[in-house]
Amino acid sequence: MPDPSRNAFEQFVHARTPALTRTAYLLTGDAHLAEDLVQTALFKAARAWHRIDGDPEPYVRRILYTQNISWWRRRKVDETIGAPYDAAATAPDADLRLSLEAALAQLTRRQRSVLVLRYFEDLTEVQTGHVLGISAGTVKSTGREALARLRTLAPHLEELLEGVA
Amino acid sequence: MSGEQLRDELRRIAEGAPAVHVPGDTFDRGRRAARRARIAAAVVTVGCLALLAAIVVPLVRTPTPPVADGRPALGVPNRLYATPAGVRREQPGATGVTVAAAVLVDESGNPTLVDAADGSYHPLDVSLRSETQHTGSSYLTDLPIALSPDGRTLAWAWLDDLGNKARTGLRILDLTGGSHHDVPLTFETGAALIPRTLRWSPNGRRLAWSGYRVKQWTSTTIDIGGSWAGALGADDARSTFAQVPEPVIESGGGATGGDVPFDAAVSDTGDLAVVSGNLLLWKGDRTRFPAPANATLTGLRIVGGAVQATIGSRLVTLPGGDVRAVFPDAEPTDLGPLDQRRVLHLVGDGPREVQVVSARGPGRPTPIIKVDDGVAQVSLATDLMSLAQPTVTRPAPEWPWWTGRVTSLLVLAGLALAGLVVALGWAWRRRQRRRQRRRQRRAR
Repeated sequence: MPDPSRNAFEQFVHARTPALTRTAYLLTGDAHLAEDLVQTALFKAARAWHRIDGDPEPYVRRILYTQNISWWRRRKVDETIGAPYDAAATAPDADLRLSLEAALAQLTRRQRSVLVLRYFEDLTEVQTGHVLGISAGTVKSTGREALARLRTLAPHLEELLEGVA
Repeated sequence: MSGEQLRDELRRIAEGAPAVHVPGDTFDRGRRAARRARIAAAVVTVGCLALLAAIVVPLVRTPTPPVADGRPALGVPNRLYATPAGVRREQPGATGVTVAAAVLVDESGNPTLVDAADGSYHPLDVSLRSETQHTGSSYLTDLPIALSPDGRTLAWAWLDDLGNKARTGLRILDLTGGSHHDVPLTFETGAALIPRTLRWSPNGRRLAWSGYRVKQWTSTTIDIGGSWAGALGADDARSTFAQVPEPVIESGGGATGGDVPFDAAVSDTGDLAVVSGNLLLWKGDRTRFPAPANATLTGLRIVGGAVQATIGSRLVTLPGGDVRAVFPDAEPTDLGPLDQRRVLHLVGDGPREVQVVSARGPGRPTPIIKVDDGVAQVSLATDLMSLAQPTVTRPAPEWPWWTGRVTSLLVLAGLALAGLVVALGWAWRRRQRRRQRRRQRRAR
């Protein structure tokens, strides 16, 4: 006998995994981490599937954001010690022209998350702060720092960032 | 529009996201995890409830409702139960018992008070077993306890081992008022006296004791020597002391030592009678009485100005040694008189019984109380017993487990569950961290 809940879940997975993967890829900047993030979010959604009322996508996306933040917080110490992103505060090599993708990878995870949620997911500052567990003011300042970092890392992308506050 | 180009570029980057494989059993694994979470929540809830019950139940537990129709009839139960191990023990003055039917001592030397009003059992936080470890030797003694005939006063001996010396005394507890006082049994030189027997006068207002003086009590040596006896009123702060000859049985030209009779009793007027071996000290006289070399003394009291002793299976009047009765049991323990003509005996091995036997000649003993195996010593409130109604029927005791065994079990169960949850949580976190490290390694 077919299980309607299972069918609904599998249909959702089939239809929405590519979109979720795109967000996860932007959030993590890494294909493997993106895959893990999507799988984890879908597993958690399956666990709570019987409680989800209505469209499950907002619920799954919220898991995606919070799980990424959770990983980010767990790795925060390692990243701070290794500081692969923050160490890039020094002026870039003039000969090295970074793409936006490479420049995003030089940002902290929080800065990248703010940019993705604000400019890819189209969330407001308040919504972004709510998802990331920080205040709207922090979202604003973090976004500003992220953009300034991008301008420093990749001055040739100024045109791309034109008009961005 | 601000950020439009950035948005487009982000979308372009996102298009490069890899195809993600979602395992086909994700839904099943999710359901199983949800089921596990529900079970864990139930277990934690049960554990919390158990802990809560362990804390709250003893606080809200209502005491036994009082009997509605006035004062309950006082009586001695027709069955005396052995106190199981692990029950909650009460402070002697806080039991709520105003008249006791009996005090029972178990084989570990712990006494239990039996309420004469309702037959309830109250294990006391008192130890009558004193075991002292010294270098190369140990000294073990069972201290005496005695309930007054009216069941309203309890007296017992105590011993404090202070290392290089010992302190001893008697504690007399007025059950009706709940107050107690101590009577030191220490000589002016500081030497202690270890009581061996304790007997109430017939009216329950005086106590007699016999015991041995501690000659030396150090960390390496205990030397006991010198026999003493004394008497005191129930309200007195000090006892009289009388040194008595070493207990030996002298018959003809020889003397026998060892475990020979040594006991003391006191009359209602304060006259002290001491039996030491086959010597009676009574009203200033010292008289030898006839006794077999292996005589055992299990009862001593003063009746109508005369001293009566139960020696072996015989009730004799001292100092003459007239045999008043020969009992069927070889060595009964005398628990006191039921009336002028009858006495109460504790007889048997293992499960025993209390019998009414005639004090005036041969007669058929009448069993009135069953005593469980495990009860080593019995002291009865004999004033509550009569020939017409020697005992009363009481329900089986409800042992005070709550803050003892049951509470401990609930607390242990709660802690075990909490420990299990913490261990599972720790294992889950560890697994997650390993997975996380694997992801990081792959990402690098």
